[in-house]
Amino acid sequence: MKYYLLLLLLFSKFCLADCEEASDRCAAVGEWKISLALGAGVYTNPLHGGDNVPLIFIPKVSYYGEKLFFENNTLGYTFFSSEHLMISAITQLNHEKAYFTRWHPKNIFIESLSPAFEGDMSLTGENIKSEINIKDVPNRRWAIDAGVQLNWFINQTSDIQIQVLHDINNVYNGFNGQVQYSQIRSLDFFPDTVISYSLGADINSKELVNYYYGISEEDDLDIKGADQRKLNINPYFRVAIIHHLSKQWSVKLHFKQVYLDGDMVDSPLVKDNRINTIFAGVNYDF
Amino acid sequence: MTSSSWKMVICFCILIVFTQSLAAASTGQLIIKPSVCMVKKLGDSCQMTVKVMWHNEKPINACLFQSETRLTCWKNTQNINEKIDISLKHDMKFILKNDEQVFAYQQIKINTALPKKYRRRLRADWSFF
Repeated sequence: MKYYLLLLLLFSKFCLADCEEASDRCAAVGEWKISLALGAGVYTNPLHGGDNVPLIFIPKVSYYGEKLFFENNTLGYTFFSSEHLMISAITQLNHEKAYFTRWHPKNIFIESLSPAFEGDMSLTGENIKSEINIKDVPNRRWAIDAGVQLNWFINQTSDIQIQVLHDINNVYNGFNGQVQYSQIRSLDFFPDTVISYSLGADINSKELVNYYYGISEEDDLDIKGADQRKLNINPYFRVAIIHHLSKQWSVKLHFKQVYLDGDMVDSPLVKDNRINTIFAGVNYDF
Repeated sequence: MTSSSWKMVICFCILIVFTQSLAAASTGQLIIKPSVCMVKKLGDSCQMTVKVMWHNEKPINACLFQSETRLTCWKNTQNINEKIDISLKHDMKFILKNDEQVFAYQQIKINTALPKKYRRRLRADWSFF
């Protein structure tokens, strides 16, 4: 009986997923939307030797067709659509490799003079944790993931999103997933302003964690045995405040904090237990 | 008649002459019918025959422009009442002008037969970060 009620809720005739006009939660079908944010911010890098990514210009391109969509770095095809539920096949770039990429101009144009692996050992309680700089391990590859995304629109302002993905270019040969609850609402006391927040978790299979954050024999480092990691769950929260100045201009504040799984923090490559994304600026919709 | 009364009469006459000359120089409104073109969906091209009407007190040389593109010209004319074929993909301004001045203009709008559709976004804003 309870499953029947759940199905009834999912497939009921209320048009909660429908939209009447373009907004922060709705897109016009068949139209490209391009925007550019200009401001100041940072995307912190939790790895030893990893550069924080400065956020100054943030371009954004999105397209929603009847079934096809492209948003941020995700390309998707919605093959099931009801008033409350949408299921899409998606493909997207896995962002883990970004932490191993030298973003800062000085890292691109100036050769590092520091010696190779120094095997820095720090004492933490009874455990000895090695610190390994990302430049001392073989370069990790960009992975392209593909899988299924489910969006459940609970009501006009809230939704739950679930992703299950697997890499398709033989990089880490494993799964990753995401579960996220989001809410977007207007602020009555502050006109033309919306606040959106998300609570969620990234789930990375041990294959993914081992490929990016484990130390294998192939890494050829002076560490006794291979460093094996486990399945990781990284919870996060995100808050964004958008104040619309006109149809095209808006002011945007964005903050996201990811809490890394203890197992990942134990990796010799990892120095921080959090990843922060902070941005404040103006946004122009073309 | 006193001198102040004479002054008033002279001012009145000047005002009448000035107003009449202004009226002679004034131009009528450019009328293009129909002023709305219906297309199936946004981005579709619209072709239609429109009636262009315009009247002026004095004969002039003028051309009708679709935005920056010249469509047709008239020489030494006071009345325009003609059918022309136009083609447009989005709202456009049709301007009657010559090298010296713009006489009148009118906007032709594109409307879609099917209302615009919207759907919920499936990814959170800036979900890459």
